[in-house]
Amino acid sequence: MNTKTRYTEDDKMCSLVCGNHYMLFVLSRFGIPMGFGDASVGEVCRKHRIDVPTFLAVVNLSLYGRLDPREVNGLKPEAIVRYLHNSHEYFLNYRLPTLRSDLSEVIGGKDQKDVSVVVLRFFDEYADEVKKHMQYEEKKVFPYIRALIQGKADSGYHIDIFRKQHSQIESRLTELRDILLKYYVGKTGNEFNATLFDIFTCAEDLRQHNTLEDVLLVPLIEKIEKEAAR
Amino acid sequence: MKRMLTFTVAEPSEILREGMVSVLRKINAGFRVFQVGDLGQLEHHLSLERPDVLIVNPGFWKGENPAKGGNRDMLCVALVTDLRDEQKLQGFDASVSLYDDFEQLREKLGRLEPSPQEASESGKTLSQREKEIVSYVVKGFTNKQIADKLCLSQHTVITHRRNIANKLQIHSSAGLTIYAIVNKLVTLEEVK
Repeated sequence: MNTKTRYTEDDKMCSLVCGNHYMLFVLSRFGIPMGFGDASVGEVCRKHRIDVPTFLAVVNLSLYGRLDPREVNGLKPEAIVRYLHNSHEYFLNYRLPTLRSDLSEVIGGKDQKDVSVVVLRFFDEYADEVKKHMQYEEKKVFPYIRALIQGKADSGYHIDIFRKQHSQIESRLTELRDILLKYYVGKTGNEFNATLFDIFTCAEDLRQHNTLEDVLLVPLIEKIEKEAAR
Repeated sequence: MKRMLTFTVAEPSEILREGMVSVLRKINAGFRVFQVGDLGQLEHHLSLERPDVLIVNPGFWKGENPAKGGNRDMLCVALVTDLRDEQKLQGFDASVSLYDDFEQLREKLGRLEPSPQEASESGKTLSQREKEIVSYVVKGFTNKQIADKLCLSQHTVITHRRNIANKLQIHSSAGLTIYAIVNKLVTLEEVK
């Protein structure tokens, strides 16, 4: 078991990923390819021009679920925004469509067509919700942050507006997961289980994504807003 | 009203047993607390009284996993009087130490309380009336329409719906629709 408390830039990238394979998502969203040999976290990040403290903050927050507010100091908001944008792409263009097509294949054998229809209806409503949630961030929040960094923020918007209306995003997916677990009576098998497994992973991934926005992005932008106001 | 927890404190030492009991009463005067001094009687007592929580000294309670006397939902709390016993805590749901202060004890034991929502409803099957209501809800009827159909007050319909949500842990109507289709409470045509 991994008993480490915090990762630092001197740890090997390979041990970071082996200690928690969820870090594969983090690496891909930072645009870090595999094949890093025995290089350290710091070395790999510098090679790919990624801000090391920002990378470590994302890693440690994802792994341990909390962040010392002081750690926010000096992080690169543009790197975090790029990271979140890549996550959005992943969820909207890859993960959710894949889950949908898997669900449509594994649910509903011969006499289960009805179940398949309502499960997909549920899923489509949910995917729509996620899309709206993420598009708001893409169209409103991220442009605001990019402008703020360049010192020309539009005065009508504040990160506080985002903080107040930012809702959790995975709860309906976990509801679907639980409904399938508790009440689904149709044929199940390897493919069904694999899909269920993916729902678990995706829900957890979405939860972490939201945590990142709430615990990392919002405090950082609040701080930059305060400095800008001076 | 919320049901009060019942405890059994199994401990041969009168001082420790009475001390634990008085701590429990101080945390919540409404707790029902049994005492067992003779541990040979414990199994018998547990099968008879079926307490929610057993507080027992891990040094006296034999076996890797505390046997739960046929009551699978019972929580076992170790009463640690000897720091060497700390290794024996496997299988216990929680532990309290002789050296915990009152706040720590309150915190640890308070955590055992089920949240009111899950108290008794969660996981139970729906009654016939509730199934009827589910089928109307997923067909798109409003609370008022359901109340009229079933000759109930709207308030009663709302209470039923809340109980349904608690029992099934399904909170959206799209989710309820899946449940209703799987359980053949409605047909696909009816929910279109």
